[in-house]
Amino acid sequence: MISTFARSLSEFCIRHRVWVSILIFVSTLLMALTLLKIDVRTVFSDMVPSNHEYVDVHESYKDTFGGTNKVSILVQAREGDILTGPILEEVHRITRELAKVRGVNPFQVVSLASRKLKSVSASSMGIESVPLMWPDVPQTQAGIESLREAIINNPLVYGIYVEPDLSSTLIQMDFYDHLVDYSRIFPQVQAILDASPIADMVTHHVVGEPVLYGWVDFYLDETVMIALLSLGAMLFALFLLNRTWRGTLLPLLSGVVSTIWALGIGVLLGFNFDPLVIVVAFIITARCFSHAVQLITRFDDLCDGEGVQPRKAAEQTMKELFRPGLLGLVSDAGAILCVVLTPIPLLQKVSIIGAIWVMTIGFSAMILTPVMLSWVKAPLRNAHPLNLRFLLTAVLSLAVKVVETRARFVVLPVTLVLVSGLVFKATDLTIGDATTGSPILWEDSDFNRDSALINANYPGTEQMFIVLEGEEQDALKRPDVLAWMQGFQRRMERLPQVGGSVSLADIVVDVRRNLYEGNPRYGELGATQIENGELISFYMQGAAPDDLAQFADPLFQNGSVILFFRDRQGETLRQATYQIGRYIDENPLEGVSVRLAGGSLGIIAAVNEILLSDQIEAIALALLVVILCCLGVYRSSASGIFFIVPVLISNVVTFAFMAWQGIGMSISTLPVVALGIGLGVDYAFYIVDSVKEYLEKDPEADPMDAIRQSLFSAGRGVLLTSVTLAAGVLLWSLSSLRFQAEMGTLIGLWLLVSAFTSLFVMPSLVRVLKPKFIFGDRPQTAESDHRTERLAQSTH
Amino acid sequence: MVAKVMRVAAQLAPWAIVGGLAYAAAFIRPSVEPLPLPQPLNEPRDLFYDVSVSDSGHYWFAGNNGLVLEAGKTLENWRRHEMPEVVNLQGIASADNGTVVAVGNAGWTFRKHRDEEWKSLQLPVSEIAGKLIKLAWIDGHFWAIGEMGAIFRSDHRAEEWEKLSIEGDVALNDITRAISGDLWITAEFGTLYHSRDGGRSWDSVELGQESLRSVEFYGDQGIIVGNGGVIFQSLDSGATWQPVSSPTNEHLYDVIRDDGRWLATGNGGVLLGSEDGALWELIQPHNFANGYHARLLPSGDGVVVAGQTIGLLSGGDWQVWPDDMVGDI
Repeated sequence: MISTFARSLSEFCIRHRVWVSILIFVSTLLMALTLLKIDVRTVFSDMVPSNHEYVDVHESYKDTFGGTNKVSILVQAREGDILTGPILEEVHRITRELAKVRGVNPFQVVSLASRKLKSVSASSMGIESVPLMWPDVPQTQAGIESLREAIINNPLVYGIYVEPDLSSTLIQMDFYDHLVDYSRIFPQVQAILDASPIADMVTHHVVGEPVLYGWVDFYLDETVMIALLSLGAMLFALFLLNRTWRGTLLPLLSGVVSTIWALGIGVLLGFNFDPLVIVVAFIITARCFSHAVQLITRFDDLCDGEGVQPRKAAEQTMKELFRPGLLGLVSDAGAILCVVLTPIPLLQKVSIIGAIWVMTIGFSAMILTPVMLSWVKAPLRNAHPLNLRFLLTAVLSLAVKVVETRARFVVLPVTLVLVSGLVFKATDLTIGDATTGSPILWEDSDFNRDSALINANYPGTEQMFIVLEGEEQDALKRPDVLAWMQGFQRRMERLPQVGGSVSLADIVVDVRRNLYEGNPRYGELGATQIENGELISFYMQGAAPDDLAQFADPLFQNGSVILFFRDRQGETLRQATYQIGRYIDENPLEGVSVRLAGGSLGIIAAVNEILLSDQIEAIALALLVVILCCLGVYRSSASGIFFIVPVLISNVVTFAFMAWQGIGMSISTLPVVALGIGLGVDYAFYIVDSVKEYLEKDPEADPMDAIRQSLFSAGRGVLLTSVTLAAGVLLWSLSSLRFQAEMGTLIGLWLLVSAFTSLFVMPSLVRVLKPKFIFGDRPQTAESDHRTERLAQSTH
Repeated sequence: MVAKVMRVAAQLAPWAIVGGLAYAAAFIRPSVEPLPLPQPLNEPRDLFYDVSVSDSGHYWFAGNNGLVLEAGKTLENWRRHEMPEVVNLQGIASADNGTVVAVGNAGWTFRKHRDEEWKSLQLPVSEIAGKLIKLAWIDGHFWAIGEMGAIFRSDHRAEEWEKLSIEGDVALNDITRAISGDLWITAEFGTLYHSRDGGRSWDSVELGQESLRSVEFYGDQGIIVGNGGVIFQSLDSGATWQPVSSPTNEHLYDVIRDDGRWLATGNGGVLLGSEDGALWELIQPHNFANGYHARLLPSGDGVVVAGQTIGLLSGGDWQVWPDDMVGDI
């Protein structure tokens, strides 16, 4: 049925090639107009998984206990400490200017110069709570000395907002989530710091999620430039190896048409485009190139080898390659569509756009390329004299030799041994981030260096909070609840990556100490709920209503314990959530339930928890799609195992490589892996189907002849595309974004492994196993086997 | 037959792979190798209020949350003792026979004789304010003083305590014995108590309004330090006291005589020194911690300090224990 449809479609398209071309080009033009409204930006909420316990906690309390968009700015004195007039003025200036940054919550700008940080002291009137350095900077040395004393004696400031040796101070800010625009926050903050009048006295260091994605946005131009260079490199390689303009320009044309359609549909659907997933776009464009090159290669074979006229050759090419092409596209689209089940909006968007994009290749490559080829007038004319095809031929000859000789019997066991070893290595793969800094940027990037500096001298830049939900009002004032917080903080601070923690208990303890003339012997909780309530009331005298907002709600029924982490590695977060759960289990609190976990690390922990199962689920479903496609096309589920082989090998190699290179499995790598499955199976489809096509045409043909023909025709296309695309993606390794560079390498590796598996493993499997879905019921005569043996020996 | 089995296996294999992966997706979760998180020797949240040395040469630091940290000569001999009652321990002292006693909130006392287990005893203190603030070993007796004028005395076994409390709502901060054998107690809001009869009766004198935290005698000379950096000096065995100019406004919590000079410490990393007790100046040892320091203890190697951090002050150097320990104490 597929063959009949392919024949009818190819005849129709070539007969009405002008109208088909006009239709495709006009619709492409219309789609291109929608691209004027394309929205390229990172949206953090896109990365937040739905239906996860941690996310529910985060969403319920993020407005008070801490959001995901905090920015920390370290102002460090080049010499001495920060307690000098000019540096304090600088802190004041930055604090004032930060309140003007787009989307900032002005009540959440916290620094020595803000109203939030206070000097708490006892007087005959009770507790006196005075901002440390607000509204003005001390103008005298005595004032500065008083400030120094106030800082040192305030445990909620000293060590948390001011480094213990007083050489630096932190300024923190938070944003309204719905107003966050990373592309604007970063340059605005940077401009404030660049305008420093005392750059010779201080250094500035900035970290935080908005800054990280600001850097990504900062490198957007470079990313686009690398993408264009990469594209150019691939086209150049194609031109060099194909030696024809059609072999170069038609894949480009297909890629452009496909891209415009996919992005246009994305715009119409209201999707934004994250610069981080640009590699996904690149993989799909690579798929498009691959299909176009297969068509052009077959077209050249027909014109060159069999002397078929271009128009007829184009029609025949379309007809012959429709089945493997369609199989590849449906498998690709199906595989990427499986990712839609992952409950993360970013991945769902990538999945939908990816599937649409892949299916557009059906028009841009499978139809448009043969249509354009039908107009070729001089198919044999080379565009340049340099003939490098011998390189391709040498590799393909080697592949043929492996199948012809007894080496084919060694291929399967050797592959099994290698894959087993790589599976072992792949088990080291880290779920979540595998590095201490951000894996998006290089270790020596400004951001990661700043992050390391702050984490070395402060409790930590990354935050997670847990929530205590009481059944009654004022539950948080109960001594046992506050003591639970203290015990919990002590336990969690034993974790090497937890730099510190804060809670309402810390405030109560500090207020009590101050109430007793600042005597540290009285730094302890009140003995009763009433006493703790009074201590909190003392603190609130003269304080702003929201001063305790990050620790407790106004009724003191629900509160938080905020943990500071020095990194966000997958292992760190798993260990932390495990230890939190363990402490909760070991120390039950009557009338209070403890829930984890909010804050930026709560969200990342949630993502990490679902990532592995979703990754395996995506692979399983993608393989199911491949099997169902094989079942539909070849009417054999056994064919599925055949095409799963290259997919599994590619997967294992890639995971082993990620483990070796310390690349963690993250939200960003998941679509790459899902798309890689399509890459793995496409090449196998073309090669195996070509063998089948040959044997269908000539049922009496020697299987080795079919394999040889397949390798030199479809195999050439496979080799050509994989080598040229791999050469292109290697340019990504020059990216200033570590993530882009690693994904580029990953895709390049995937392309090569898939291609070489299809060229060196699959043909041997075909010849050794002689699957029925390829060879049908034809008897394997002794003569044919003998002839094969002779052929094999003659190649020695 | 084999071919038939192989064919069936080939038909089933893809489904088996997908099924296996589906099972893995449903049931395999990222594993974590749980860290045991054993109790470390010291924690960042540990705070200390007193230090004593026993006849074995070990130092005993009393701290919050019922913590006593025993510091042996080498790090291997350090031990963390957690009392059966989780109360803040304010004072600690050692008897000549090796008994170590710690006192703390709510009248709790904890005693340990050499390798025996800790034994606890709660003294009859006020329910409103029952903190025992200071414990001293004086003339064969443990003396425990604290809030609400609490004064208790015990022999070296610390099993039975005699109540010698002063009437009134006053927190007693430090007790010492002058060379004459008289007892002196510094108290809050500028009150100084004096007993000539071994604690049976007490006279008081007011030295300003600031709470007096510590008193120490060296011969006829006595020094008192207190809140707001106040310093008083007596050159006549405590008969009269004169205020002395202080270089700090920080609260001072302890004063000692060490190696021919007076040393005082308190909040905000402040450390004062004086040769004669009259002229005081700030001392800034290298890397001295900024937090509070509650107690100074002269030792052969320098001065052992208990506070937000613990360590050894030797010459101009500050060594944080146990982090900076190099070799033996």
